Amino acid sequence: MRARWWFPAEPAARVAILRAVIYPFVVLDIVLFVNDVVPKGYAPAELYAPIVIPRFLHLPAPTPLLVHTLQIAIILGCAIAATGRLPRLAGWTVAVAYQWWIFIGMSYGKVDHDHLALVVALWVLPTLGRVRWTDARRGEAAGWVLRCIQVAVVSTYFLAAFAKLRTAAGTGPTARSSPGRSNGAARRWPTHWSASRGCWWPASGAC
Amino acid sequence: MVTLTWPARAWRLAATVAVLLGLAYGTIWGSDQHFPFGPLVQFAFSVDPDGQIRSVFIEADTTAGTRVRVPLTSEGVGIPRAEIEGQLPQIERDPSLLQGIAVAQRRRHPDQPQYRTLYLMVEITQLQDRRPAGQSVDQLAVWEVR
Repeated sequence: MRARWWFPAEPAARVAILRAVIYPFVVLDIVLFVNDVVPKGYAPAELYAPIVIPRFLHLPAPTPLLVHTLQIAIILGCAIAATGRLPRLAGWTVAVAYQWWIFIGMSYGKVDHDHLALVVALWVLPTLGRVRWTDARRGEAAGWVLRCIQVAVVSTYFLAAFAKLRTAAGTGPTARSSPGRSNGAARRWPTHWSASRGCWWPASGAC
Repeated sequence: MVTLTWPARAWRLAATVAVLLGLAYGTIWGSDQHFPFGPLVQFAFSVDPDGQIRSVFIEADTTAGTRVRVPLTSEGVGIPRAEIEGQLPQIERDPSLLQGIAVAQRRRHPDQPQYRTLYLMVEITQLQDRRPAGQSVDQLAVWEVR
């Protein structure tokens, strides 16, 4: 793949529009989808089983203070970033706080993999400075932002097909004989998606 | 058109390559532990046509003398059921982890009858040629709340 493919010249306005769409969605996400982080802040620390990256970063077991701080940081950051103001300060704040938020969400036994594109979007959106909705100038910085999000969106389900193949081969992430810590409940508990976070197996796709 | 300087391009490419390598690792060898790079499992599991579907739940004896189903939801005890399923091997090994459920309930719903004994249960649906063929319930662990 040629390096240039990652830097198409795209109008900056598209990034401004994406900001107006994605940041409000993040607020929706922490209220509706990954909405069990606040309760986890109140749960006893023994149930906190951090996954690799939070463990490596020594992120502590969440407390009510921490989860509410993250909640406020995300909501305020999104409110500002959605308008296009302070795109770097507000944007990076949201990226870090949201990343921490989902690390907490995924550190209690069950891991969801449907947030890749959103996470990537939050990390790349602040790489562009302030742009207006009417800014039709084309630039490579804007193009890279859009390209990264595009690839992340496609990867989410394209790579899911490979995960499925690994499962079918019996050696994959959900193979029952795999040793070690419960790797996603699916290893032993095929029904684990059935009633969590409003996802009903097998009718819907994204959980 | 606004082009990028070579350092600006270089760090973007480096970040892109790093994330792609992470995703490749996660897809080929990774597990949920490597989130967000883990295998992007979206319902990507299969059940043996003659296998079992196991569904975990928790029951509790309360201070009111009743036996209730513990609400394993964000609004209930604050720990969704899937998390319990995810940590099942640990809980079976060390049922004292169930104490956390009782503590969480006490903190979140001090007005409700408290849990005295917790029973970790599993409902097993046996499949035969992809169809349900009988159900049973099994007790996996018991914990006397301290």
